Amino acid sequence: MMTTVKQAEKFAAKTLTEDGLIDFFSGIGLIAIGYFWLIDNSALSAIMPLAIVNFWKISRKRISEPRIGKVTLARGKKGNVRAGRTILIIVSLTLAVGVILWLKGGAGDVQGTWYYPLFAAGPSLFIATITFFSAIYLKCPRFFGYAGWIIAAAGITIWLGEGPARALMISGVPFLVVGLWTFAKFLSAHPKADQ
Amino acid sequence: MALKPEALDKVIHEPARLLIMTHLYVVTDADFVYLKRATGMTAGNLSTHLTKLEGAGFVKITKSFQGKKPKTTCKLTAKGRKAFEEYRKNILEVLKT
Repeated sequence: MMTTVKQAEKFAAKTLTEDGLIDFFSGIGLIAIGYFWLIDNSALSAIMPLAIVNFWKISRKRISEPRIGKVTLARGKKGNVRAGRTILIIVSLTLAVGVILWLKGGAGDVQGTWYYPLFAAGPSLFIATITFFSAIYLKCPRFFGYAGWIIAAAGITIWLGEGPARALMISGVPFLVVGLWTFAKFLSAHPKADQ
Repeated sequence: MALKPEALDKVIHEPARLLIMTHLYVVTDADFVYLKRATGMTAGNLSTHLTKLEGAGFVKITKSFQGKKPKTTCKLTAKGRKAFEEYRKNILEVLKT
């Protein structure tokens, strides 16, 4: 059967998400960042994204690539890349404003201040934005769901008076569960291939 | 003006090679395992067509080893990308009502 350019693009993008590893490691990452933040270990929280990306790359190389092959996706369409970058800058600035207000207030307890929701929702909003654009770039609808869930989790935790750390931990759970389930399905569907 | 027959590149026009070119057109590069899965061809068939595309200067094939396993990576050359775009434009022209 012939394939259109659009179908080929979809097929290539699917290769990056069909093993569920990206979901699984994102889940582990979010839960770990939230946990380390909660126990005030910001150093471990900060190195987590880098560690997670490396674990994901190694796992893909060892588990997924021998089964489904390796593909390097082309850069996204210029317009999409520009729009993504602009929104990410806006969200980053919002986050920075939150931190500046927090520092100005003596870096103390922010709960009860008018800017508390901004401070508490900032990290989640930032990650939700990245997740939203990942959904577009990877052509993977479940990432839209994750982005929505991250925002909902942030809203609920703020409403309950909890901080951003718990919001991140709760956000990671669906990533982890869906990732594990997708990974199990992937392993049974794709036996190791020989070159 | 009517299109000349040579406007449709014969190397690309063959369905199996067109399929390979389509899959390579949308990515930066892809390995043999990926292409085999994407096109549904046998290893021998895919290898033959890739060699033809390489011969025409449309595809660059790089062979390496990952541990003890051989690894073949393919990517469209600038010439191949241009030829595919030209082919796409011309075939659309031909099929226009």
